[in-house]
Amino acid sequence: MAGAVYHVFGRAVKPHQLSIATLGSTAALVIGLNLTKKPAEKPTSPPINAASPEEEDFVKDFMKSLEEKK
Amino acid sequence: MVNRLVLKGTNYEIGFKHGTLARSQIHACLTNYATYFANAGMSPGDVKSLATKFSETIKLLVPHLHDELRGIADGACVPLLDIVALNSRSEIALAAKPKNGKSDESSSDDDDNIPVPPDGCTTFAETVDGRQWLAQNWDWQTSQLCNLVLLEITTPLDSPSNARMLKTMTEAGLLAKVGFNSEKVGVCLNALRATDLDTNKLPLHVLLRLVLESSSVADAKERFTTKYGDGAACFGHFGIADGKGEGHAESWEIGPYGIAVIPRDAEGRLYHTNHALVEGVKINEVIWLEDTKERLMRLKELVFASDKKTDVKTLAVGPQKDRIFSFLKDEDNFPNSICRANDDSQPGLLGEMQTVFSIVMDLKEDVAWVAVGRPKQVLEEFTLEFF
Repeated sequence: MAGAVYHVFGRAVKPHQLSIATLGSTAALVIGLNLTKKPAEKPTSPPINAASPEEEDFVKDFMKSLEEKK
Repeated sequence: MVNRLVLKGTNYEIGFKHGTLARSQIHACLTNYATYFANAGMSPGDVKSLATKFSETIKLLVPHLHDELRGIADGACVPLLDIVALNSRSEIALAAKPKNGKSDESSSDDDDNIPVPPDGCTTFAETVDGRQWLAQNWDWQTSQLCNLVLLEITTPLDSPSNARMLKTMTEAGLLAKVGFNSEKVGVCLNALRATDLDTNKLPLHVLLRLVLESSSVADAKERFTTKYGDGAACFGHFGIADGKGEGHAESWEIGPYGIAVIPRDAEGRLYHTNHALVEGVKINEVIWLEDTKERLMRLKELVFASDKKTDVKTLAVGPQKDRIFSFLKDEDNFPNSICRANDDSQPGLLGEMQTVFSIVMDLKEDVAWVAVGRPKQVLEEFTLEFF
């Protein structure tokens, strides 16, 4: 059974050639997007506004005590 | 269950623990108030501008509480100005005049365009044979019910508050609201609405905390007039009492002009809702709810009716507490009653306001009873005491 023939830009193209071209284009697009994508940003939060070394030590100790309770 | 936070240390440490242990509630508060401010016509830029001014005022007048706000912000992982905005939320939403919106002065009771509801609270105080009672229904946005916290704070020895213990029911991220302290001083808040605003004075919720750091009503008044700017950034009512000696209670209508004091009546009682009772004060008040006057009249009716049935002087503590709670449970003029419920006939935020909690304080014994939710349909009940 003869397969259908598509006409693209005036040329006869067979279905399997069209499939290969479509898959190839999609792969290229995906790879291209991944290459241009910015690296994932780390979640940000406002900086700790501790005004003294004592406050910084308190923050560290308190957060550590909460971790130990988990 | 209400999130109960037991806090002590330096003010920064108290704040950091508060911010950390109530972090998700604080984030929810910020979301709710972002919506609320937007509905009031305040852009994020307007809010940031006002918060910046209030941050400077708080740092200048009460640096120890600015430290606590800094700690709350760090613990909650949010910018300091967000926490300042929460603590200035009455001023930002109820008093500020947005540049691109109409002024509150053009609003009226039946104006369909009023975008945000005000608080709708009812306060009652009574002195009976040297026993000082102070009580209130705090009515506010239903969405804030899940953001309630009970703060149990021991203030630092080296701060102006001088190692006092205080207990306050408030919204997560705020320094205080309604409560009492180990010196038998109690305070309640009723919102009053006026367009007057002075960013060189302290926000109401900061002042409520300062009342709870006082040793008596007289001490609070002396501190307010000499140290804390003599007045408030916006208009509001404090029901303030102490249980020392024979007991003492006053109504303060406080605003940028200073403090107007209403003494107890001949029966030793105070009644207040959400409109000014002092005449002649230079303030641009906006009456937004007719039910504020109806609730005031209704409260007096209930008390007078109770007087006819019972000699209050003969009541023991338990029945007296129940008597005051019965006033707070009243549903006359439902849903805009003393015990308020959501009003389905009102659109949006306007209809989403209810009694969020009720409190009755016996300041002579330094004990309080709290009912969370509408007192007719209590969600949780507990007793607060120091010793």
